[in-house]
Amino acid sequence: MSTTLQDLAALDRVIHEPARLMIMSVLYAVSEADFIYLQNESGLTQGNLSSHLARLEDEKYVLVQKTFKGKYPLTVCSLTQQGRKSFEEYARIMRAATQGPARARS
Amino acid sequence: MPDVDSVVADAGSKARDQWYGDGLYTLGYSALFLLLGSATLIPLPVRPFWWEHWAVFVPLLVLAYLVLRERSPMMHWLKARITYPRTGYVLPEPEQLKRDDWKRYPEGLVVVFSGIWFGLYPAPWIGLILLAGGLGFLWGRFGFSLFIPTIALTGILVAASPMPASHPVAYMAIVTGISYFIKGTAQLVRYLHHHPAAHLEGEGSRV
Repeated sequence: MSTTLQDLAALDRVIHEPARLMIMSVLYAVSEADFIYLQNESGLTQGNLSSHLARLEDEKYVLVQKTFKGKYPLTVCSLTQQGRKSFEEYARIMRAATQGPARARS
Repeated sequence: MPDVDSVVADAGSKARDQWYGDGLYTLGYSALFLLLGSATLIPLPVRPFWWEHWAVFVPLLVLAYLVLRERSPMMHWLKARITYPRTGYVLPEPEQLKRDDWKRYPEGLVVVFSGIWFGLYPAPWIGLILLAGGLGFLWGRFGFSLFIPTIALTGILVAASPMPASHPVAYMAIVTGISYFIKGTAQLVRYLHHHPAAHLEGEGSRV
């Protein structure tokens, strides 16, 4: 088994789930976002998004804060330091896995 | 399989587009330029010294900084009533917001240069429009630039105005404000048209 293949086995399964990967990708790219924005971007239902956010919050990858902007209630989500590090590690493994075969073919 | 890096880059660009897409910042810049231009044209009760104009400009610039900076409470107040209930709240990374800032420098330089030009040669605005058209063609790959209508409108205003072109920079500021106002209003109308509030009523953010 090559090193890359062994690395693939070490992929973070919490992030690897497609819905959570979408959420993590959006939150990695921004400072913070609220529930409606995440729902619009991901296309997930409210229930689905809530449960995936709760799972990410349990892993301490996402910080969820209930706040107000004026009178408008906001549930603001952002990645924690640990979440950023885990996502970067996930991206590194995926990059190595997808770029390796491309280099081998060329 | 989608590439993680391009997915993240795309998400960042979308957040940035949404941040500016409602036209509120453009309208804010419009108000700033209109105030700056008007403040210069208002006759002062005493013969102005050079520093008396600064007494007007400096508070305006400080006010503009407080209102137009990324995390200003004023912008959040406006966005909380217009943007967040429709398309949600997102705060892009500061680097994303500053990504294309350098493109504004040539535009600003041309506006200032043209202001000085009008001060020296009030009439030949057709030449400037041609110059602006040429520069606009060269910069076309960066997207539509507001300096073209700004210069054209200023030329028309100066040529048609019965007032002497004694305040060229004020004219430039006012017309820049009008250009930004037109652009910002168009952005806001388009945004409100694409995201009507009716079907979002009662939809707060929840987990």
